[in-house]
Amino acid sequence: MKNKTLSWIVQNYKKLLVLIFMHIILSAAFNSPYINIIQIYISFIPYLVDWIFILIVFKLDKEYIPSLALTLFVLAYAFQLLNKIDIQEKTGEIIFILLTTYIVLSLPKLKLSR
Amino acid sequence: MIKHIKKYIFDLLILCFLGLIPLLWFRGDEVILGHDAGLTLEPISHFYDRLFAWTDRFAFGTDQTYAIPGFFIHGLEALISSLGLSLQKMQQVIFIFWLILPGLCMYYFAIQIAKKYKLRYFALPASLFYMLNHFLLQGWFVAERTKFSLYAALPLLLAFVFAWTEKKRSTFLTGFYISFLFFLLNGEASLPLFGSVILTMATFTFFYFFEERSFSKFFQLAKLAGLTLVISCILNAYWLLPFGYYVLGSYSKEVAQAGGLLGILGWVNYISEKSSLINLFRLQGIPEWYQNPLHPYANIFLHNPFFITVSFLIPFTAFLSLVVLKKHPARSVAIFFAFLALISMFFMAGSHPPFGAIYLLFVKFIPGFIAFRTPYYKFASSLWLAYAVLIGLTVNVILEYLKKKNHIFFFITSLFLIISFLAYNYPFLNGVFFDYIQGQRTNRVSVPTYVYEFGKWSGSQKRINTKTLSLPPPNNEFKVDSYKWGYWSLAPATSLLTNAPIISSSTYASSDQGDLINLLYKKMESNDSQWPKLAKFLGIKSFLLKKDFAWNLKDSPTAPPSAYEPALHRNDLKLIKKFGEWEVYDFTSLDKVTPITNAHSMDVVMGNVKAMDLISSLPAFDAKSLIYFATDIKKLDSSLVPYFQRVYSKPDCINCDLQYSYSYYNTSTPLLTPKSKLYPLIIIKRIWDEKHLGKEPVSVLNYYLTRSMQDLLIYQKLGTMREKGIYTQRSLVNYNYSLSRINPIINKLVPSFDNIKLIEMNNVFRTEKLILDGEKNNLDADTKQFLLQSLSQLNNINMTFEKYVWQTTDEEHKKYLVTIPKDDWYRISYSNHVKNEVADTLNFTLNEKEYSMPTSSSANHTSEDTKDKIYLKRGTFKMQLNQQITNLVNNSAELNIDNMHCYNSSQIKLNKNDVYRVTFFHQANKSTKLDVAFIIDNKIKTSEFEKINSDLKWQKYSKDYVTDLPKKILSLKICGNPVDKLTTNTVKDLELRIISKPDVLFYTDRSVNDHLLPVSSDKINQTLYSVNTPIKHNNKLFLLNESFSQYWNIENGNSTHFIANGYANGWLHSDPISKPLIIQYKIQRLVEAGFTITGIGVFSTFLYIGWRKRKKHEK
Repeated sequence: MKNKTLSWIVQNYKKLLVLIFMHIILSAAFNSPYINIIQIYISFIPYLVDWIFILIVFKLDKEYIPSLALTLFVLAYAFQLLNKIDIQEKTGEIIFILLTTYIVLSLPKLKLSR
Repeated sequence: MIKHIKKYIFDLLILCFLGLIPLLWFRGDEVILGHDAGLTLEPISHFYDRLFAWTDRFAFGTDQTYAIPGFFIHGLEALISSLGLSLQKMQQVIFIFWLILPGLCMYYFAIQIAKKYKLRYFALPASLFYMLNHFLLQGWFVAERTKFSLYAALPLLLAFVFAWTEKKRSTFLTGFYISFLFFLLNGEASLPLFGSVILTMATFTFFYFFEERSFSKFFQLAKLAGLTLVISCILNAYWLLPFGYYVLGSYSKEVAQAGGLLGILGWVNYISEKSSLINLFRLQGIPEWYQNPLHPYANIFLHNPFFITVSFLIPFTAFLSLVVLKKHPARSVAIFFAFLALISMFFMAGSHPPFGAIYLLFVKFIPGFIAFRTPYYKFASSLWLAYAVLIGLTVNVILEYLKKKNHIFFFITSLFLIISFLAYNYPFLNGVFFDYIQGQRTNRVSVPTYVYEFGKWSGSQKRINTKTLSLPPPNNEFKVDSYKWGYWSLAPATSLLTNAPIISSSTYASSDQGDLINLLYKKMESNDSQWPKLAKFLGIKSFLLKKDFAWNLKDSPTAPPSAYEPALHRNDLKLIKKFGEWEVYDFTSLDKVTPITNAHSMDVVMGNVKAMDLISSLPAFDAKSLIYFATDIKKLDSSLVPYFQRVYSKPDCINCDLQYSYSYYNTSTPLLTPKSKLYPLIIIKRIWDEKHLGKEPVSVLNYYLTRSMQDLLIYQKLGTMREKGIYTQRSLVNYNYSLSRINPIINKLVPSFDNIKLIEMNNVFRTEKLILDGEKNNLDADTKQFLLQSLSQLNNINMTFEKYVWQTTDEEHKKYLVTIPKDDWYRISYSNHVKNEVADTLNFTLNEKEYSMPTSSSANHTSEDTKDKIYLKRGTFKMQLNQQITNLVNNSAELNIDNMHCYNSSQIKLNKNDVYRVTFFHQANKSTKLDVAFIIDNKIKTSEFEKINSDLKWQKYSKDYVTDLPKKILSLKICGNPVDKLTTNTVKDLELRIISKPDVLFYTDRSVNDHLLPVSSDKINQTLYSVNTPIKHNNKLFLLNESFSQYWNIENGNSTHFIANGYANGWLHSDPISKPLIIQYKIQRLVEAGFTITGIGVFSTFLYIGWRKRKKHEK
């Protein structure tokens, strides 16, 4: 398991570095004068860009996303018990983005009327 | 059919069994009443009243077009009552109906899904979850039937459109079904309650087109939407016609009532405080749970580990369906409802991060979105619907799996789920949710028998039109009607009891009506000898003294019932009936009160209805007067002027309380300052603006005033950013430039401005001076030079204004603007409540000419001699009244205050809205602090002391105190600094004064024999009167003693409609009257037309469907 994770990191370290670099640049950019107006309205925008980048570059299997969201519910429950409400709120936002992503990715194959 | 029912009988029995829960909610003879419940004590007469667009139940009558869509909700209650059931039994039946209905509707929808995807254990869990949950619980405390109706309609709507997409039902039938659904379950046509319906349909449309985007699909959907719209318009014509007509003219009024856009944004923030996404996932974040510390059950759900665990299990179970249904055909359903859940959460979160700013943009910029100012409640139904389906899907998978594997586990799990579900919804089982402030307030009340008896009696033919004043009044701020037996609501209990006009200063009274009613209350409380005249002037014949009124509530105190007893124990009043704690007094000497009266002439009052305080105190005041109120001499209706006889002019004391207003001239702090790289854009815009400004002086003045304020706000912003140098100088240079443009225009324009405009502009310049002074000490020497230039220019402008503006600037010289509409001889009346003073002679100046006149209290009113009068011509006069200042604390000697000794003034009785000013000189033997505080009701906190610097130099201290809260006692405390042991402070010339606002009234007291006379008329119903001919007195002025509304109309002939007596409908009917005059509330005609269209629509639609079915059957 450990080797598998390690080998995945070794394989993708360039992409990871790009992601980290991009996040730093984006965070700085969205905090700079005038552009920060966008962040006033959509505070999570750097993370959203990160997430889209992850989806495109790492080609995540969408079927893992709901399971990940469910795991985060368990984590949020733990934060509630520890009274870490701020972190719990952030966890809720991540769950929301995860589930929205899953639904958006599932839409093309959806057939409601049949 | 029976076979079908047999298949689902077990599920239906469980739903119906749980639907009987409301039987557990009532203890003894309790009924649900109060708060926002809208449940009435007399359902049948209440329903009958709601068939009309006008009701007499509130104040002097009010529009109730909004209530007509409640036809089915209130009709059902009236129908059940008509079966002879008691009020409690009727409520039990109704509650069972509204509790079961969402469950049954959901069950119908769930069965469609279950049949399609072969889900054995889906329908019942989904329906139960939809039927009993915390969202509904929050609505149940006020039995919110409007919400329940749309909540129940939502799954049926989806069932219809899903069946339509699967081509199980034709477009016409689907359109008819949807229309008929919202015809019956219409949420009383409250647009915000449709939030979830709109979201659900938007989600459906999105998915509908996502599957396949083709013209034929678009055409099909457009056809369905068009058909639904047409059929809905026909079926709902009974309320659409009147309501649409009324709402078209009231959108801006509604916004203003909600506190304007800013008020609404503030409210959205307040409601959304706890609606974080994680709370919404857990189906929590209900605002009331966090705002009410005495909420009957919220604290348990927020803090108990079991309930916290369940709250996390709910979203886990719901979204588990996405995992467990990966390869199941019902996966599409799970995705649809998961999407609906997420989109609902987005809107329910309101202004809460992370999407809150987007929601606020919607509120600001999407027309009509302002209606969704309580986002949580308005979009929640679709979230609960989505969760019900998602949880149903997961539970189905789990139970099907267990059923296959192990029957015992299946049974145990089912039992566990049922027990957990009931435990999580335990407040449903005992009705505790009705006790909305635990231990203090509940909607479960036992109504005393005498209340019902009064209701019956007042609704009798003899009393139904008798205007009765309710005593004591509700609290002036919160307008709460509350009784010792438990009723608490903003809706007066009498309005739920009888259709008779029982008047109180409730929220339903307009501002002017409220002022008049409060004036009567005030005069009755003080037993002013003139109060019966005012009551008769308002058409009030009777008085209801409610001795069980909860007058001493902590948050809404009012006068006790006993305060009105002296006023009621008069010779011309008689106790005519006693109902337990309720007593009814009638005037004995009053002529028969007719709804319509007429007169040959009328009196005119220059001022607002508050002038009636002085007018009704005049010995010559005639209760049968017809009075026209006007505030602007230029706007007087010329057709009415010839009918003016007596004149009253009540000038306002301008800024008498010396509480100056400040104005930013609708300017907000600019985003860009001279420090910004983008500031040149502002410069370019200003150059462009100046080029296109034109030469019209008022627009030029407005432009430079706005610009000057912008520059000063930049100057202030830079100050807070601790900028001192070049940028601050630049903002001052820009400001000086604007002032240099303003100065010459002001000199030209100011003489032509009216006093209101002058005061408004003076307030702007006062604000600018304040901003300039505020940053004075933080500037460097160079910048100060620019500041001095600004101050010098500003002083010049202020000097120009001082020449023209007419307003009080000190405590001794009170200034008024007296408007005289007609040349005549005038007397003067004066009153000053601060000193309880009724002066015999008054010295004043009018347009700088000095006068000394006897006031109304000393003048000989029978004399026609003009020596007690003053002849004034039509026009506006500047009046100045000199007042003596009275010091409320007697301290001529110097006071020595050290760290051990404080000075405490004597206690003064506090009057609401009066301004109290303290002034003194102080010094100390070394630099120290002096603590000064106003003490209210003998309570003071250390933090409330103001610390003022004191040193060897004598300094003047001045401070004002004003309260609009009902406080009782005021005193002053001055203490030395407790730390400075060797310091002695000296205080001298200590004064505590009330800044008085004396009332003055100019009036003609010529004797006029003309007054209102009764007119023979028939009240056909509350919206229709017929004046019989021939009219005995050939007078042209008519008065209908109902609240003024533009929709009241004399049907035949030409007439001028005006507000009479400050609140009622007056007409000048100049045409000869040969046939009976019909006075009608116009909207009622639309109600009648609407009901006719609806009736025909329902009948013909059913006929058409029957014909189609028959034709299909024949084929």
